[in-house]
Amino acid sequence: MSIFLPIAGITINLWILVGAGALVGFLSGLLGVGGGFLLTPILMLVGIPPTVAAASDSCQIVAASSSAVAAHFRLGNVDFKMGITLLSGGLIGAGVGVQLIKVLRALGNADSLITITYILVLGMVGGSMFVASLRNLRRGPMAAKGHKRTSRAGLLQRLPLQVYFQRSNVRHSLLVPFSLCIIVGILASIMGVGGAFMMVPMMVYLLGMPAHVAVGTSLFQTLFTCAGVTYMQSAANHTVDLVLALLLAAGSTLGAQAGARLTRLLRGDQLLIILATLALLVVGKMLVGVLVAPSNLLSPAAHAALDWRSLPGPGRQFWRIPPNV
Amino acid sequence: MTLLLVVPLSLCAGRLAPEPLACRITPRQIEVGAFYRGADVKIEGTVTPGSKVIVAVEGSDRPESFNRKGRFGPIWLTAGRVRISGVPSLFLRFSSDPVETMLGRDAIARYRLDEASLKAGMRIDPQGSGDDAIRAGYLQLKRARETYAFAEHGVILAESADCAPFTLGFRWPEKAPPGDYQVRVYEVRGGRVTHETCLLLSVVRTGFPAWLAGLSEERASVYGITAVLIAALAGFGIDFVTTRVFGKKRARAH
Repeated sequence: MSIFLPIAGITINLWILVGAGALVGFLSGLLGVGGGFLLTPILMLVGIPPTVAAASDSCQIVAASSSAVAAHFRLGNVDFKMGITLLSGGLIGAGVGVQLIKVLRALGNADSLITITYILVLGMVGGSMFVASLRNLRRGPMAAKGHKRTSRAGLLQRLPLQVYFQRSNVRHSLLVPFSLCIIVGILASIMGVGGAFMMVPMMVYLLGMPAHVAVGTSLFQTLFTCAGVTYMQSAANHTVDLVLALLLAAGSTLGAQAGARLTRLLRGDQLLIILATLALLVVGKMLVGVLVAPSNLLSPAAHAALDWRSLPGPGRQFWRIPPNV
Repeated sequence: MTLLLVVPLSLCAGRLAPEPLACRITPRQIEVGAFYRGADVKIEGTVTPGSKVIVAVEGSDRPESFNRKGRFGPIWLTAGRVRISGVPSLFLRFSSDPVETMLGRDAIARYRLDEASLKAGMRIDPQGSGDDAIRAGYLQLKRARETYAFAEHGVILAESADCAPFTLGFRWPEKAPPGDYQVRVYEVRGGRVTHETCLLLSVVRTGFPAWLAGLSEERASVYGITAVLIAALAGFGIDFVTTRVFGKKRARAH
């Protein structure tokens, strides 16, 4: 069964969209990632214009993450106090990152720096998470272990604005998660991703949060971030295709429920090793992409928002319906 | 009744100005509704006996932006953006015989009827050393999306004593975006174009797609807020339904 996507301007089989949404929603509910790194390339592969794919993806993440947040909330996996702290830090970091990108682009060759940063950061985070989780899996269930108090932790606990995060069962200065999220926000902006890949390991390894709560809290933050992105993309670029987003959401909301429920059956280390494997697979794919000579030097530009204003009048009105309609 | 459409050549900006060629296109307007799956387009007309026919369908010369890859030592990275202009967004060519057997190299280039002539007219900004590869890459992307096609057949000519009717039927590509398209019909005889005419084909959204596209353009903020609310409600709604169906899971300590 095919359907015409009003903003993308193409006809597509709706089961492809529902299926892709279900896959990404499942990963989202299970691991706390938005899934944009996976879904946007899939949409581009089936012929959706890149700008519409990226913007509509944000809209469907709102649906998938709200479904998953609700499921995780009932499971007791959402730390709202921590989530709001992380969200505020992440937004400031994202703002700084956007300005940094402008400077880098003005200096030239920013895209190369972004790609190399992406591979290095994701490779290091994924690799260290994989090794640590594997070690923990061999030792036994994570739930049985407490987090060791190190000298670093002692130093952090002497910082001002100490707050107890009940759901996560950790005490931190507000400055710690706030600062870490500024850094993650900057990196996420530079790399053009949501940042959950870095946020979840950071919450587990640096803030000492349980993996399940880290997943639920990451989704809480993703929900608000993507809601903001969806609104901005709609207002500035008119590239959010609501029909596309809702078809993807039809699959992803169900997938997110399944993923969130599956977390009950898995231990924290098992969740982290799946996330690490996924991160390493993405790194592997990117490495192949940069090492193998491309068959085509051109590829569709996914982030048109940055140079949208430089297009001439007819370009800006590309998606405008003809006056005789 | 199907209207006979003879559009003066002046509608198609600046080519030679011969006598109008009688032909018609059905439908003149393709309506894109919610369940649109492409459309069948038919072009019919008459030419002088002994003439051949070439039909070229062209989209607007709207500039398009792409990422351009470049080599940095052993690795391939996105080296920046390129803007490509001077070529149609869509190009479909059909003919009664192979174009190379009907027209000389210069005429093919002048009427922009093959890959080489399209590449020659392509403007790349900024210019660089790999422009030939960029030109080939652009056509490769367009072919993959089925919005560029160069057929050596398709137009069927029927000879008669005083005139030669021709017909062309083809499937309009699903991935061609809404907009206005020009259909150029060339009558070829003795190695040169003797007549040329231009028809207009409009592809327009109708019904719900038109309403939604209009809303996203003209009330972008309302559209954005609505999109967020609908998406969030869909998410919470699915959670509500699955909770009812599969039961509520209680919180647990980790």
